[in-house]
Amino acid sequence: MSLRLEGSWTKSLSLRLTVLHAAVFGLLYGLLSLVIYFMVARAVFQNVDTEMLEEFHEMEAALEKGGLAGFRAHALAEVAEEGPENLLIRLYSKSGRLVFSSDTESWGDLSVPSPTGPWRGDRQVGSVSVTRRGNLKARFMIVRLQDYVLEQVVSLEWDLRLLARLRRVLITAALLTLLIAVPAGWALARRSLVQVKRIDQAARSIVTGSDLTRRVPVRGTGDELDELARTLNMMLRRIEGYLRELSDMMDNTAHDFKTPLARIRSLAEEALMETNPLEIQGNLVQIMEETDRFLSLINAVLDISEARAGLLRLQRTRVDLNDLAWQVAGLFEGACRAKNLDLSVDLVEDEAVVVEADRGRLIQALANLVDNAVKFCPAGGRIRLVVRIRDMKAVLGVEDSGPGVPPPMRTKIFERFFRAEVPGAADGRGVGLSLAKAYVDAHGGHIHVEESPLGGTAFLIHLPLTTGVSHRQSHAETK
Amino acid sequence: MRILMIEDDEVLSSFVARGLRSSGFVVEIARDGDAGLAMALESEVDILIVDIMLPRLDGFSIIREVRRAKPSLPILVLSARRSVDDRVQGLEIGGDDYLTKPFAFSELLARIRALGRRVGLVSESTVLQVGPVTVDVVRHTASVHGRQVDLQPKEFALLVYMARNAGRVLTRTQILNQVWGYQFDPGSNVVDVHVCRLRDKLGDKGDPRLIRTIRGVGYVFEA
Repeated sequence: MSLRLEGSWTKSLSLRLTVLHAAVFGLLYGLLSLVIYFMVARAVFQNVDTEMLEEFHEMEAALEKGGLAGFRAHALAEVAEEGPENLLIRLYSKSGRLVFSSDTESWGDLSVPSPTGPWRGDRQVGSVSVTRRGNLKARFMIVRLQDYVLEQVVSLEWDLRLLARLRRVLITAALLTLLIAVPAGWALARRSLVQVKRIDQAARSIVTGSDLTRRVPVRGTGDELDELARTLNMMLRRIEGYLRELSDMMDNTAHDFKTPLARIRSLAEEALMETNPLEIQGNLVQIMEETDRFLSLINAVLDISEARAGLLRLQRTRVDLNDLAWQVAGLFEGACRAKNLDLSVDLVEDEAVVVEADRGRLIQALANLVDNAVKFCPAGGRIRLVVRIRDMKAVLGVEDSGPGVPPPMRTKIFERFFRAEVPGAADGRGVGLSLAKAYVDAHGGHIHVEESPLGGTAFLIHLPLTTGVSHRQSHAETK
Repeated sequence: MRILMIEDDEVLSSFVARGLRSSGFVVEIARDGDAGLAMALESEVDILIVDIMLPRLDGFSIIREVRRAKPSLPILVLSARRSVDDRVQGLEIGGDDYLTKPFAFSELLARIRALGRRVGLVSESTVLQVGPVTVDVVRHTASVHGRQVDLQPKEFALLVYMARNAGRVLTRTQILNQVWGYQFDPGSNVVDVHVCRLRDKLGDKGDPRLIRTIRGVGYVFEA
């Protein structure tokens, strides 16, 4: 059924294109024909008028040279030459009395203007129909000739025949052109649409067959359809990438979810075998804690998704990074002491480094970076929190003396659930860095990984400075 | 204060009902949307707790109906869905607060008290007393056996949170969420450090202690 639908769609589109093509072509041809026809007709009539004017001059000369007799002889000769049915010559006196007339047999009564006037200009020219000969068109010219008025009437029979032939030729040519243009237009439309159809079929088979590795054919002609095919392919590539990422994430998520669930289950099982109420209570509390951690893991994953989709809502306030670094350092004091790590803070002295940020989320981001450093730094190592201003950007960093991250891994570590295969890396949940990156990205900043001056890794959060640097503002208050 | 809870999950609703009853509330439970709406409209209810996904009639419709009949009734929306859109929708059609499942009971209790306070049904005591420890929430002071104790802001917040939930086991993650506002434990031991300091300052050395540690992951503040 889908194939039938597709066919009719293609057909109707090519039909529309063909009709449009033919219509435009026909219109243009019609206009051109009209122009040609009217120009030819005008030239023909002008030619007749010019001939009549020449004739007048000849007859004027004859009248001057031979008087009325000379005129008569010349006129009769002219009429005899053209044929009395093609030329009529009449001469009137000024008062309108007929002085000379050639054969009027084939002319009858003509409704030409009276030779006595009224006159406009020195001659009168126009068309008239000859009723006796089936309304045959004729051209007349009435001119003053010395003391007379000369009237010439010329039949347009041959000229009209010529124009009729021109009409026939033009119409025949129009029909022939349409006969060629319609199928040509049809073929052109089909040719374009065949590619559209090919793209459509490929896209359809990808939809129904759910094989996202397939691609729409590109012909390599570089036209709009090729561009469409390329765009479609680009889209497919992205969708394929997203799907792969999604399925990887599902696998990783399932794995990461199994671990706490297994722990919770074994804790419950253990509690069931226990008789000492304090021990049971202990297990229940552990179950609660495991559940809470599990939930915050889920929430972190959801936050990452929201941040990536641009849906995370930040509650921005003015935050002094010096202040924030102190606060986060305070969070990890105990953990660092327990692992014998030297934790220090290196701030921008006497200046507040202010950014517009969601304080809670920025703390979370930085805390996750510090947590990562604490996890990977071997005992006796050093961790340093730094606040800097670099190229008018606020930089918030965590440097450590740990094993470092080799360059090829530096982008990978921000992927959800990525976990470096480092011996001794304790219980990293792999979400922390992704969450930190998601939060920083949501702020319009970015995280950058480089070698640390302490020998290990340096994670640097770059954020846009809001108000530049305000001197000696709130740093003293943080102490 | 009478609370109507419209929730089809039996385990959850009976757990919440038991907790609320022990905190002094009268609790009624409806297991589906139709019954819940009828009860909400007919009986005397001070606070309504409503789940979104319910059999027969969904929570959004219930809220809409109830809002028309009782515009000032505080409504707490419960839902397992966390998306911002759901939350916004829940609040837009007339919910007063939104809580995502699963939740800690202490969180629910705090929200209910806040709603009750808003309509003048609960007058939260500003002075909390747990054994020898007295905490004045308004004046920001704490004392043990009448002796004033000097606390840092976070230590004080921790003490208030534990005093409000006295006798209830609080997990480390829960405390980190509620007192520090971090939803994701960054692996610091900040809670343990603060509990330790708080014990020192309260002179909590007896046996059993005022703040007991359970398996290193949970704390109870109990006289």
